[in-house]
Amino acid sequence: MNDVLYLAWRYLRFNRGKAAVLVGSIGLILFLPAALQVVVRQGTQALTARADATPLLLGAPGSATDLTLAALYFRPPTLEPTRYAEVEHLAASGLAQAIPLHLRYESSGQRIVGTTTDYFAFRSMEVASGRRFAMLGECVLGASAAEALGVGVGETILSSPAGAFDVAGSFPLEMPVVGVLAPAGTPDDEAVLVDLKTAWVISGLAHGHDDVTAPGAEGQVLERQEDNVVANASLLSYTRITPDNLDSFHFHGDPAGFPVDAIVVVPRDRKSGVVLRGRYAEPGGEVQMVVPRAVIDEVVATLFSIRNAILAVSLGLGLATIATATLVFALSIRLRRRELETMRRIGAPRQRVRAILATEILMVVATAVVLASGLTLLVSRFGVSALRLLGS
Amino acid sequence: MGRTGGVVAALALLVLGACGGAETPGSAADAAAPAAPTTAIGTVEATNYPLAYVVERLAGPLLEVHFRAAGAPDPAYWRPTADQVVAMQEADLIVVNGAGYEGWLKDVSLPTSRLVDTTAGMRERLIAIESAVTHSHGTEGAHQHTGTAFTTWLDPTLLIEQAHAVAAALERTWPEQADLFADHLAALVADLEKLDADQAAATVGAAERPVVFSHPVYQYLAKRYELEGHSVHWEPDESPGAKQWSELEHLRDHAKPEWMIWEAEPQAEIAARLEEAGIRSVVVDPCATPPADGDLIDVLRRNAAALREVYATAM
Amino acid sequence: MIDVGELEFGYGTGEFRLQLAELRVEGGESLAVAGPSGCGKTTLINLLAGILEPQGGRIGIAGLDMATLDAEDRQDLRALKIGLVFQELELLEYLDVLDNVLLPYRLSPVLEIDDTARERALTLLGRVGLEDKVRRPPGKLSQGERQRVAVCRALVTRPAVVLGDEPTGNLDPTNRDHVIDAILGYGRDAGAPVVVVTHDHELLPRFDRVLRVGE
Repeated sequence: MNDVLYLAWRYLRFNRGKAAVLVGSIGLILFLPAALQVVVRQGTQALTARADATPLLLGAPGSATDLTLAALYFRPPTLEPTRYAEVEHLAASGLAQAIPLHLRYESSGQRIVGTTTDYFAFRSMEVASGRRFAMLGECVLGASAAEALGVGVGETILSSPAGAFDVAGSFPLEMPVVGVLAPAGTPDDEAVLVDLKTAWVISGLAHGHDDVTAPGAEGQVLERQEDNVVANASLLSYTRITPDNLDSFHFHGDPAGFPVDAIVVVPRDRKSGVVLRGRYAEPGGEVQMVVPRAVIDEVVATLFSIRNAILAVSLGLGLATIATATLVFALSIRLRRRELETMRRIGAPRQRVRAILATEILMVVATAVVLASGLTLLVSRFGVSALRLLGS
Repeated sequence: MGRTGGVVAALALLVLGACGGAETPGSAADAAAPAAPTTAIGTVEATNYPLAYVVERLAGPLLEVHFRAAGAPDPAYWRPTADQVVAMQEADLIVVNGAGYEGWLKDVSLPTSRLVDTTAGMRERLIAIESAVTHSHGTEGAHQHTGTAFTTWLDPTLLIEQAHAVAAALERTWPEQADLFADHLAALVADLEKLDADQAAATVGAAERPVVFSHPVYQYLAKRYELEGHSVHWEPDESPGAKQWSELEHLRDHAKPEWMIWEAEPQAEIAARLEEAGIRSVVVDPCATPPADGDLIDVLRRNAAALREVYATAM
Repeated sequence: MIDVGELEFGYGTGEFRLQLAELRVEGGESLAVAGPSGCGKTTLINLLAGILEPQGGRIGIAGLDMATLDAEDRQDLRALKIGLVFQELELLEYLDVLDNVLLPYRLSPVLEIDDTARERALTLLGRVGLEDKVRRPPGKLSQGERQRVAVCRALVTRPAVVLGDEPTGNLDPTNRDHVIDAILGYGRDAGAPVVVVTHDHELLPRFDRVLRVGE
C-alpha cells in the first residue's frame, strides 16, 4: 500500500499545477455551500440572540423592521423619533423599565448611542478600562469602536455633523473618552455610548454659554430689556463640556418633547409584558410596540429562503464541477496509456494499476475536502465579523 | 468506675447542661440574642437631609443611607464630582427631591430605573418662581432658567407625600420588607400630621401679620399656612449693605413687618439693628443639612415653636 | 534456459501466423532475432515474455511452461524472472532515475523493495555511467541515457531471462554499445539466456547465435 501511495503522490507532485486546479475547484464547490450554511447559522444565532435579549421595543409608527434594526443593530434610524415623554410614561406605569436610545449621530462612522446607565446593566456590559459615563459630555466606547477610532481612555473624539447642510442644527461636540468596554461580540462593540442628554446637546437642544445676565458681559449683549437680555451672535455655544462650563449647560424647551429614536422596554414580569402589549396594540396610535424576536424571525425566514436558493445553484455548480473533474481524470488516463501499459508489462497487476489511479483521485479529493474544511473553519471563526465589517 | 468515672460523668453533665440551656425556649441566652440583622441589605443615596431622614425612619438599619452633600453649606448648590456620581450609580435607589432642587441632575448620568423623584407626583402643587431674569438668543423667545421653589419639605403635607413616594420605592425594591416599611411610614406620617396641626394652630391669622423672610426659601411654608411676607437676600453671618438696609426700610414703611424669619441665628449686631427698626428676629431652620442638635422632627418642632412666637397664638 | 517447442500463434483477425518448431537458448547464451518488418520478431518476444498467449506449443522459461500459466501468473513470472528491455516501454517522467530503476519492486506485489535492491540499482547505474545522475528526472536525460536507465530497470530484479526488442533503436553508436554491453554482460555473468530482437546488422556478430525469422 505504501508503494501505491508513493507512486500516486509522486505523480501529483510532478503535475502540481493540474492537481492544484482540481483541488481548488473541487474545494471551492465544497466550501461555498458549507460556508454559506455556517454564515447563515451564525448570523441567525447572533440575530436571534440579540432579539431574544430585548423583550420589547417602543418607537414611532412605521416599519417594525426598521425600528428593530435601528434599536438592536444601530442601523441609521429611518422612522421619525418619538418623544421622551413616552419614556416617562412607561416608567411611571410601574410595569416596565424604559431605556431610551438616541441614534441620529455618528463619530467618524461609529454610531453614537444616547442612552442611560441602565443600558449597561441591561446588556451586561463590562468596562475593560476606565468607567461608565458620569458627567454630561462624556463617552464610553465599545471595544471595536475604540479600535476603529484609535483612541483610549483620557483622549477625546468629535461627533460628526448630521449632514453637509446641517450647519446651524447639531454642532460637533468634543467628548472625553472615560471608558472602553470589553468585547461583547454584539453591535454594542461598535457603539459610542453617551448619556441621552449629551446626544441632545449634540443635536442642539441644549447648550452652554457665558452668563449674559452677569455684569461684564456687555460685549455679548445685543439689548437689555426689562426682564430679558438679548445676546448677540458673539455668544458662542461651547463645543466641549468641561467642569468650568458644565453649570451653564441647559435645555431650551421641555425635555418631555425631546426626541428619542427607540425605547427598550423591559417588563417587570410576564404579566406586565402582556398588559403593555395590550395597551400599545391599538393601531393608529402615536407609538408602536414591537416584539423584536417576531420581527427577526421574519428576517431570518427571508435569509433562509435566500440561502436555499443559493444552495440550489451551488448544487448545480457542484454537479458541473464533478462532471468536469471526471472528464479531466478520464482524459488524463487516456493520455497516460503508454505509461500504464509499461507498468503492466513490467509486472503490475491490473488491480495495482487501478489502485494507483484511484489513489491519485482520492488524494485530490481528500486535499480538496481538507482545504474546504479549513476555509469553512476560518469562516466560522471570522466570517460573521468580516461581514459585519463589510456591512459597516 | 472510681474517681475517673466520676470526673467523666461530671463533665458529661456539664456539657449536657450547656446544650440543654441553649435549646430551652425563653432561656436567659435567648433573651440576650440580637433581634435585628447587623448588615445592610442595600444602599440608598439621598440628596438632602430631610430625604435621608425619611429613608432612615422607614428602613432603620436595614439600608445604608449615603448623603454625600452633608458637609456642603447648602446641598441645593452642591455639585458632585465624577467619582461621586460613579459611586452613586452603584446604589440600589437614588432618592431626589425634584422640583429643581438638584440643579446638577441635568449634568450627570444616573440610572433612571433606580432614581426616585419624590415630588414627581405633586407637580400641580409646586410653586413657580417668576421673578428670575431671563435671557434669549438673538430673535428667539426668552428662556427662563430658574422656575420652581424647591424647599417642599417645609410643608408637612408635601413631606408626607414625599415619604409615601420613598416608601413605594423601598417596597418595590425590597418587597420582603414591605410590612416593615409600611409600619414605619405610618409612624412617620403620624408625627408629621401632628406637626402640621401644631403649625396650623400656631399660624392662625398669619395673613394679617406680614413678616420678612431673610431668603426666598419659605414658599411652601407660606403657602400652607397662608403666611404673608416678603423675601430679601440677607445672610445671617454677613452684615447687610446700605442698599439692603434701604430696601428693608422701604418694606417696613409699607408692610410694617414685626418679625424677620431667618434660616439660622443672625449676628448679634444685625439682630440688634433690626430690633431698633422694630423688627424682631426668629429662626425657622429649612434643615437641608443634618442639625447639630436632634433630628428633622426636632428641628421642625423648633420651627413650629418659632412660628408660635411670631404669631403669638397660645397652644 | 529458454525452451520453446511446436509454438503456434495467430492474431484473431488476419492471416498472420507464427510457427516455431524448436528454439533453445541456454543460460549465458545470447540469441539475436533478425528479419524483415512484420515477420513476427516482436510477436515472438511478446510470446516469450508471456505478454501474448500462444494457441499451441510450449514456452519454457526458467523451468516453467509459460503456455500453461494464466495471465496473472504470467505477470508474476514476468516480474520475478524476466527482464524486459523494450523500446516502447517508457520511463515514468515523475520519478527520478533511481525510482525508475526500482519501479518493478513498487509495481509487483511479489517483490519487495529493500536496501539490497537499492544497492543493486545503484551498482547497475554505476556500470552504465549514470552514478552522478541518480536523482535526475528522465526529462533531463539524453535518449541514450534514458535507454541505459531502462536497461538497469530490466536487470535490477536479477531476472533469469533477459528479453529485448530493439533496445538500441535510434541510439548513437556509443550509447548503442553501452546498452548492448550491459545486456550481454549481464547474461554472461548471471548465466541467464538473452534474446534480443534487432534490425542493426552491426550488432549481430556480438551475439552467440542469430535466428532469422520470416526469410
